[in-house]
Amino acid sequence: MSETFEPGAWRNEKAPEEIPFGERLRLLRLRIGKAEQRSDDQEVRLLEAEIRATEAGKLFDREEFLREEEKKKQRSKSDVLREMQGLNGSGEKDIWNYDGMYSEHSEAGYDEAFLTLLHKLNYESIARLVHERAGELKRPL
Amino acid sequence: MFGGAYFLTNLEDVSTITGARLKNVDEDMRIEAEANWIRAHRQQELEDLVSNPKREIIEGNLYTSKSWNRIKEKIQNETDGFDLIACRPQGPFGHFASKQTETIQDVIETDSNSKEELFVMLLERTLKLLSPDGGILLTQVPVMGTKPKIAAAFWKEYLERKHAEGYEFIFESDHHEMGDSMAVIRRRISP
Repeated sequence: MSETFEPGAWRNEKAPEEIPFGERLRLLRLRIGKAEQRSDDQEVRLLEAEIRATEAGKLFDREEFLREEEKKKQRSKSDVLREMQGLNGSGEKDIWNYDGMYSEHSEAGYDEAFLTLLHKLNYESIARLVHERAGELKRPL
Repeated sequence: MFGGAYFLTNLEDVSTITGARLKNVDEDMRIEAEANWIRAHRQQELEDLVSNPKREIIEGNLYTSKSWNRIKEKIQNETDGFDLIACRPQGPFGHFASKQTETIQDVIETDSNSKEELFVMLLERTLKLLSPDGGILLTQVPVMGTKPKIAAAFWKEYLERKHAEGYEFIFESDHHEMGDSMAVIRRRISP
């Protein structure tokens, strides 16, 4: 007897279509319950989709479902741009820790972020850069 | 510029400082500074800065041309370009900001380099805002997970082209790595 390692087959489990309709749904719901206990959200989603397919009298292909789910997550550049263009100020969510110096996080300051570059340009800080450039450019202040 | 323009507290040496962001968050920053027990003298700095008449915030979405036109109007009214532009776009492109919804970090790539294209599109528009009299841009180059070969080929071609247009690029490291910061200086080119 040849041995196979396909899930189910080596344990002599029946193919889903060989199990009576009602029993199939019962088993699926049982498996959903177990997946929920494990907090395995992906498995729950998969089993729910399998129930929907079973109720509709269709065969369920897990791999195909996962592929489709992955495809839905992908957004084209135009989708992204459209979403970005639809943005408007959203108050609290629009505050970045990185936006300003008014955070106790050491990485928050622009001087820290650009320190290496400022040194390459021979300035010790952004304030110093601004001061020296103002002297050179002599713009009306 | 690009952000709330909080990066400079002493405005004695500037004629104007302009921030550009979705929404003016000065009031939110005040509240956050108080809530986070930012030291009193820094709270006063913030207060002095946000009330300084030299400072202006342009509210708008930088993914729409309307906002860029408003920034350009600012230049046309006052100078031939900004002498300094500072921005740190790592937040919306990266994984480090803690309160982000206005972000493209969760874009899963299809077969194109969408994030990179968006970044370069914004970079191109920004470069045109620099004064040709040595205007300086300080910016992060966000980590976008670009394949090193693609990034290297891009920078080689891009830097050559921009050099011919009068832009000098200075990178934090010699490898032009994503995640580095870079400075760009714009100079006039002879006709």
